[in-house]
Amino acid sequence: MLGEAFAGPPAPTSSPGVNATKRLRLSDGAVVFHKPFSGVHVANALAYGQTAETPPLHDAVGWRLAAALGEPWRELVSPCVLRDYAGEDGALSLQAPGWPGDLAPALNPTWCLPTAFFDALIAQQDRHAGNWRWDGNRLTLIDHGYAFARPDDILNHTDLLAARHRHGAAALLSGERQVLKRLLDDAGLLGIASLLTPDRAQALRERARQMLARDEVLRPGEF
Amino acid sequence: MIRVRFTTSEFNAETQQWVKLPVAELIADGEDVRISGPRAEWISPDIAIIDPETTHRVTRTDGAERWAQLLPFAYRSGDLDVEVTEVAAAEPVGAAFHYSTAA
Repeated sequence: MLGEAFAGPPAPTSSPGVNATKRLRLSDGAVVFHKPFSGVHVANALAYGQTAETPPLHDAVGWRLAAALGEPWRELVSPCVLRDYAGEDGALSLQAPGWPGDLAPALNPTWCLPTAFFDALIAQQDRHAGNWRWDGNRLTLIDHGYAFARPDDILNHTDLLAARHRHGAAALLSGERQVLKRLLDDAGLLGIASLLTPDRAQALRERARQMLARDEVLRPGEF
Repeated sequence: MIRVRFTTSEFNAETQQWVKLPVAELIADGEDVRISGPRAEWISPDIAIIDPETTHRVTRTDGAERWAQLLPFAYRSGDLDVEVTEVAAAEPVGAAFHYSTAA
């Protein structure tokens, strides 16, 4: 769906934003966001332990991992691929339905449990209610630029993971154990290892091992 | 005083043009924060933000105006346009909107 041709100019913006993101339409009518590598706010990326290149890359890798894990995670993450627009390489993500700022999903285990597991696995560093969309029926996670952190990288928010722990629901579910085993049984981490730097791939592997060993999701900030 | 305007855009299929829509306006004045607008509930006053210059985690209680200036770093996805302006303390917020009766 993200391979369709672009239709028309981007939406005008009064502020270029932290990532110089452009809102665009595809020929099938879908609204998408293009975050170019050249638009990364380098100081912000470095503050998170990322690099000038990793935010758009990790945005797309987050989706690749969700797709590799299968349901329910595939449906919970906004699709995102690497693609160029106007000669600029970047991450292209599909607009998620709903609105930001709604805390309802953090109170509902149907949404909180699988998203918390996903955020623990990818070492999401900045999951607050501005980085998910809720439409009253469905939760979609967006913006995985600041993820795949390494031990000692900083955490800003991981609100869904914190909520899962607060609700006393840290124990892994059977489906979560299965996907962690499937991930670890594959030397290439289901195709993800080659998309990450070796230290980040190793950190992902170690988080999966830790969760299986303890039979619970990691605590906030355990990267 | 810091003013942060949040807007979004929708595509109008009839006119084949993007239409800018207001979402919310946040005013940080001293230690006070006011959020108003048609979708004011979309903007959380409780989001912490990493200051890229210091790498410190900044919350509203660390200083409302400093926090407000960092808000573009909290909303990176692109569906909200975040515009920060510094407003002179003596200038009423409404002064940004000028209406003229001149023909």
